[in-house]
Amino acid sequence: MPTRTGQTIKVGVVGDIDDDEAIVVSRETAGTQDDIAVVRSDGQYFAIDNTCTHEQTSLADGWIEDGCLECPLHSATFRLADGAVLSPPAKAGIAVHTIEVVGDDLMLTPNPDRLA
Amino acid sequence: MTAGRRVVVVGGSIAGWTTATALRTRGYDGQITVVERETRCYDRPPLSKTALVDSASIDDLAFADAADIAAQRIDVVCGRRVTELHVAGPSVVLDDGTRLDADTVVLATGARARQPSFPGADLPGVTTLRTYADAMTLHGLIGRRVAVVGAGLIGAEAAAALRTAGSDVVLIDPHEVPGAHAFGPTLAAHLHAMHAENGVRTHTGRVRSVVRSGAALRVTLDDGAAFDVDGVLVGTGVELDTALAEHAGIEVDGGILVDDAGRTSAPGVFAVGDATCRRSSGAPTPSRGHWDAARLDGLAAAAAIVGAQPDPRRADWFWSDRYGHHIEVVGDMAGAGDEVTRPGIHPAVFRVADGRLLAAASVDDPMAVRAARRLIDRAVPVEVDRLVDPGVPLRTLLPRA
Repeated sequence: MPTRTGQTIKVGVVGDIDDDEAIVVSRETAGTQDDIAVVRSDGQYFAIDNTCTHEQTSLADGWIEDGCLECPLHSATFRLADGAVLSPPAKAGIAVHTIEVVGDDLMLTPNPDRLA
Repeated sequence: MTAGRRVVVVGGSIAGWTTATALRTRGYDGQITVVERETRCYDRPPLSKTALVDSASIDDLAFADAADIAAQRIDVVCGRRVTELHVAGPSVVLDDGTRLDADTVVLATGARARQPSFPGADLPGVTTLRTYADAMTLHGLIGRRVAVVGAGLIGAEAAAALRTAGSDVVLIDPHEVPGAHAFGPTLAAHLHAMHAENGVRTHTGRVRSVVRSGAALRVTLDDGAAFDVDGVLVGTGVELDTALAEHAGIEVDGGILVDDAGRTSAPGVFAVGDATCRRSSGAPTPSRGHWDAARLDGLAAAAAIVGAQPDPRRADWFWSDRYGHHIEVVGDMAGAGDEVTRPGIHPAVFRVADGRLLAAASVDDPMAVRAARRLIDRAVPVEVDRLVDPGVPLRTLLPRA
């Protein structure tokens, strides 16, 4: 599978991420401006920029529950499906990327607006 | 007034701003006017942390920019004070004489920094920290000599921010272990020790006077110790701003008395945030004065104003950032129950009673407190043996949905 910028890449297989857990795909691997958090919640997979829009911190370390992610620093809460901010102190939503399960593979397609 | 409905919110900090935005989220379609005495409606937690060090612009701290405010159809009147509240109506009068009629007035008047009473407290160079302007004054003390009087949350964070940015800081507090009311005795001692570990001189005592001494300010303590500094920050608590409510004849007792939804004794007048005191059951409970408590007040009031059922109240939660460490607390660490400790580089501390968790605090382990918050809110029975076992992730104590 090519890993050229903007291409769909394999980031893992089903079973790599437990429910309410996340892994980080580096920006170098994804060819994006920010690292990407690949998140599983309620059995579904989501992919979002990994840096909180409020202060610099890794969202993959946050609290994941019911399709939402709560920032580990100040509890800003983002909806994983569309990145909308549901609770401050963050003001802006978080960019989302496309993640699909193909067979057993987790396939990540970076958001074209977030390419490096 | 024949125009449509209107809510007037007095004060545009986190409690007032949350009320305004939550009204829109809840579908309120009338006019919303927020009156804020400062130049923006902005978020204050960064004032003792990043904003102080980075000299963040007030636009960075503002809750919303002009386009976002317009999109939410919120009328923001900045740079104006409300000087009168009339409960009949109700209505408010601004300091330029403008009268605003409303269906509902929400008082989010908050608190002011308590002004120190020692001789010399009014000298230039002696400041408190409550506003953006205060933070910029302190920014000017980076790299210089600073005395911080009071080692509570504001004083401790500002001392840490200034020290980390290169200031020479002496931190003065009358208590051997400041902060026990916020963190409980065990964690307070651990956190206070961080100051000395990071090169802050800590001194137990009270300020007797501040006098000008050449280009410096000389701070003299009651034990005779004296420090020559370039600036003094006094962080010794707040005074609630309840004047509008009192003059309007609304019940005030240790804060503007409100029910769980923020209703005051006057129909059509709500109050939210630091200036309130809740009288749900038992003794009236003053606001804890934390950001999240004020935000939850705003959410509850907005729900009540539109006639909706508020979400269940979550346990009080706050954070503090200092010396690169992130501290979180849920519940009252100085309240009921017994204190138990989970050992680690930094101890995590819990208060438990009758097999239930009442409060928790952690350093650089925010997920422990996020789990604890849910254990408290969902009233999950806990076993102390598992709470204090560093090998047990706290989240595993929560039943899975």
